[in-house]
Amino acid sequence: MRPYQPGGTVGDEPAGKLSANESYLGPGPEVIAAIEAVAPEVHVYRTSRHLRAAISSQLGVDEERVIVTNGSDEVCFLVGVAMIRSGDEVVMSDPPYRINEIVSVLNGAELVRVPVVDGGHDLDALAAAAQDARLVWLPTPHNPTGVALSPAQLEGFLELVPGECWVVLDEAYRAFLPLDQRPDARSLLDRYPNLLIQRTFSKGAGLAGARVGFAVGDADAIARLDSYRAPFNVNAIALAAAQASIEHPAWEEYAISETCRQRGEFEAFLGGLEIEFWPSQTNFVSFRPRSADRAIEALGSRGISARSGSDLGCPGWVRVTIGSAPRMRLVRESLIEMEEMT
Amino acid sequence: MRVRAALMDADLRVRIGERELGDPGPGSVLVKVDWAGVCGSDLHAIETGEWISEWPATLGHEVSGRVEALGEGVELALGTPVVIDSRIPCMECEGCATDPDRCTRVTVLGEACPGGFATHVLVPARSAHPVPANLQGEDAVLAAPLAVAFHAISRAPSSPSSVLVLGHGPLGALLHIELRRRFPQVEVSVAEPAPRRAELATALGARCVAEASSLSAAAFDLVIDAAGYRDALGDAVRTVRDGGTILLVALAGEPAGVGLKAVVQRRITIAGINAFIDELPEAIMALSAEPWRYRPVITHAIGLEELPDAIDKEAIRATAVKVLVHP
Repeated sequence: MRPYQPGGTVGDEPAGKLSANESYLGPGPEVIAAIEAVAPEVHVYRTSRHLRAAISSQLGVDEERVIVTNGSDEVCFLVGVAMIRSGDEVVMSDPPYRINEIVSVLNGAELVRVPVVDGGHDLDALAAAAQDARLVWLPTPHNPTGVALSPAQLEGFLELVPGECWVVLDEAYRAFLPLDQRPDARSLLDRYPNLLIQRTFSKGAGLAGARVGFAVGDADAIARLDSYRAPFNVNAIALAAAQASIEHPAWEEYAISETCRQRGEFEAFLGGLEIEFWPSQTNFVSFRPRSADRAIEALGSRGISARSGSDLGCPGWVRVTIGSAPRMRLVRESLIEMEEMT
Repeated sequence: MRVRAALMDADLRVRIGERELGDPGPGSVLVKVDWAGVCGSDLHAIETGEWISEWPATLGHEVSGRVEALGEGVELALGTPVVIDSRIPCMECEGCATDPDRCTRVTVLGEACPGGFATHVLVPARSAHPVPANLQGEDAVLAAPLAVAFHAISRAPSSPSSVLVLGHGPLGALLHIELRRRFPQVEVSVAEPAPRRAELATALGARCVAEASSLSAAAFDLVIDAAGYRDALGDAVRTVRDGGTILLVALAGEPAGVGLKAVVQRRITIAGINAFIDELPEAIMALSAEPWRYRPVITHAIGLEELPDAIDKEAIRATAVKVLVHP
């Protein structure tokens, strides 16, 4: 199994790193203050009790239906060990979110891959594959395409999946969806006990380096995941940061709004150059230039690292994280220059 | 040397063309512009033609770049990343005799000579301040406006507990950010009618209102006018507490209709802040240490060719905070 490759930088230029879907504005001032405030207390073990309570209160669910994890990726690994048995069929879109693929293989699953259609999940095909499967990985908006399901599409899909098959809904990029396009988690969880929802503080809240996420689902399912969780799996700094980001949402809302504005401008730019792209509901855009290799090279010449689609299961495509306005200007200049030369 | 530049003619129209810049003479350096910031005073000059001494003018006085050529006697290394101190001292007046920072006849890059909305600028070597290698050009370009904010805050009371900032454009936002850095417990209020700018103020933790008229009288230790609208000083006098301080950093174009009796009776201190004195190195170090803190001010970045269509004062106010130009 090929190990996960994180997005890199060009040389030592972190400012040009547009390869890992990090928030270019980062966490807000209150979150940074919370991190600084907890620093003198890191000699003390911390549990996620307070953060779990804050999350459950925000979602309107009982605390026993929430597990706080070391990044949302820990949810994937816990699901793998707790729910996947060797030989189980596990369904995912192709290209998949790489962690889903890795976790499934590590736990001996038989992978059932369903090609995306226009960057989106092929729900009918996924539902058909789910009939004999143990689990469906369902990131929406999807990574690496950025395409999202509508709440109605999601609900329609859940109706078609048998109750014995887990659906793991990864909402890492939920915050970038318009409000009326965000699924009603509580309602869905009440109606579909086979549904597990995972979220992260990495993207919208800008806490990728802190590593904190969570899952919410049926209390018994959460208890199963919890039984495999390491004690003190989330560190004190990450807990304080996540708690502060819940208590002070204004910065996150602004950062997401700015990111979405810039994403819209970038997609309009791609359209103007007649470069094919998947319409994104995230903080990244995947597009198919005339030559992905040359695009990566042109971006690199300006200190911009993008992600090659070859690494993400979509050869010929390039994924660029939405960065600061100056960095996006350099991205546009790179692509104009490349298109003029080809 | 001919360079590509934004050219503003006497009819105040801006176009893109070429201009002769000359080679660096003794004591001068040629800087290849990396990023240039659009300042409120650029927009004022485009609107009025004020301060321009040579047509066509190439505006732009907030500049980061790299040293490309040296005049005689200059010891900077080629390729050194720099930001430009836009003030050009006369080197002849009494102020210059003691310290060029105290020049009484200072002129400004972009107004008295071609500025940074161009591929290159020619400046005195003493105006080119090297920046640390870790500081990106798009962050370094904030050094000059941040130095203005530093200078303004140096005139503020030592530890204000409540501050009102009128206007949350680039300078108002930098003032807001810097006030929070220096005085973490300070309560900052902002009066800003433009939604985008107001959203940033709120995100940074301020209580934000559209109009200062909705705020209580005599409520703030310090009021900073970073907007310069017609009755800004009147709003400042009304909202500052007795014994408080008003700092004027915006260039208000209209006479202020303020009753001075109230200023005297209420012991209000009013100070005008024009640019900065010696705060530029301090601003460079602050940006180098914590670029993330100031970066949110930058909301838009355009190419030089886009500049003539982009420098619409009202459009920028409505939709942007700091706009950068990449020649």
